[in-house]
Amino acid sequence: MKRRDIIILVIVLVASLTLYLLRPKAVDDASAGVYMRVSIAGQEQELVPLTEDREIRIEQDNGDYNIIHIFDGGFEITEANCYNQDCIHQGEVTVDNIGGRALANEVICLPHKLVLSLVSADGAEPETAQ
Amino acid sequence: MIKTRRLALAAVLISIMLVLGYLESMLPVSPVPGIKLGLANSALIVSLYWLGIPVSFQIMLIKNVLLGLLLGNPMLIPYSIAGGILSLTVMSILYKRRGVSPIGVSIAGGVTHNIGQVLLAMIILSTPSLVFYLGLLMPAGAAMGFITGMIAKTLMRHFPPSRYLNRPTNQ
Repeated sequence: MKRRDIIILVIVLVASLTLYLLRPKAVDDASAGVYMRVSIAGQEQELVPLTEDREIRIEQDNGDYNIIHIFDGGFEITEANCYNQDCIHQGEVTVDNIGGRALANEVICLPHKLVLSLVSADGAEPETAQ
Repeated sequence: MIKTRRLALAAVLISIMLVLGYLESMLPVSPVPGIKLGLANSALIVSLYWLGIPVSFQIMLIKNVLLGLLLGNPMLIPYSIAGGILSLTVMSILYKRRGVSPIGVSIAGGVTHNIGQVLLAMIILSTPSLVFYLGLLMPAGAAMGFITGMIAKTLMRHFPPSRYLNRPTNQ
């Protein structure tokens, strides 16, 4: 390792730490209930209230589908016909586990361009800092 | 003769990268999507130092397209190419500077590969909050970059290019 190698490493670690500290940690007002926002390729499709236990299926015109298990205060993807199944491995999002998840309040299926976000009643993103 | 050797070496490096990429895909799924070893990057670094910038860009593009088809997920090819272009651009800027070893080049390359992929995802998904995901991806990219940089450095020390590329032959 030479001198400038160390400089590169320090820049990377400082930038990472900054982003890590600024990451979303909680939904700002969960008192009015929380919702799952469904977006496909950046277009918002619907806002689903997270109340009772049920399953919904999101199917796109080209046959891509994801099956989502919704429960009180959270959701998870249980089945998808994508290549990598990353969205299933991302696990469940709940009001309480946002701060500990790599993708915070989101579950993302990259091949299907699907983004599911846990948001509060007014559709606001979680707070970015506390 | 030297031109032929360079062509042969480029082909060998692409093959090595494809095999490494294929083997990596057989490892258990990482709990954090986007984190991977990136062992193939060590071959790309060797290519950068030995074959230069233009050939390395060709190798990177060919490898990403072929590996995407080989693994059966062509939808993800644009992401690896976005990461590859940003990463190789940064590595090209750094590799001849004094005070930067292949390890520093590789760390910068690993991290910028993550940045390129996340930037494209932010654009395609219109989800700017993905930027925070880099807080986790970048340290992993730096760690993996350190490993691949060590491998590239060791390789280049034990197999100096002069033995293969520069020596005029009389055969």
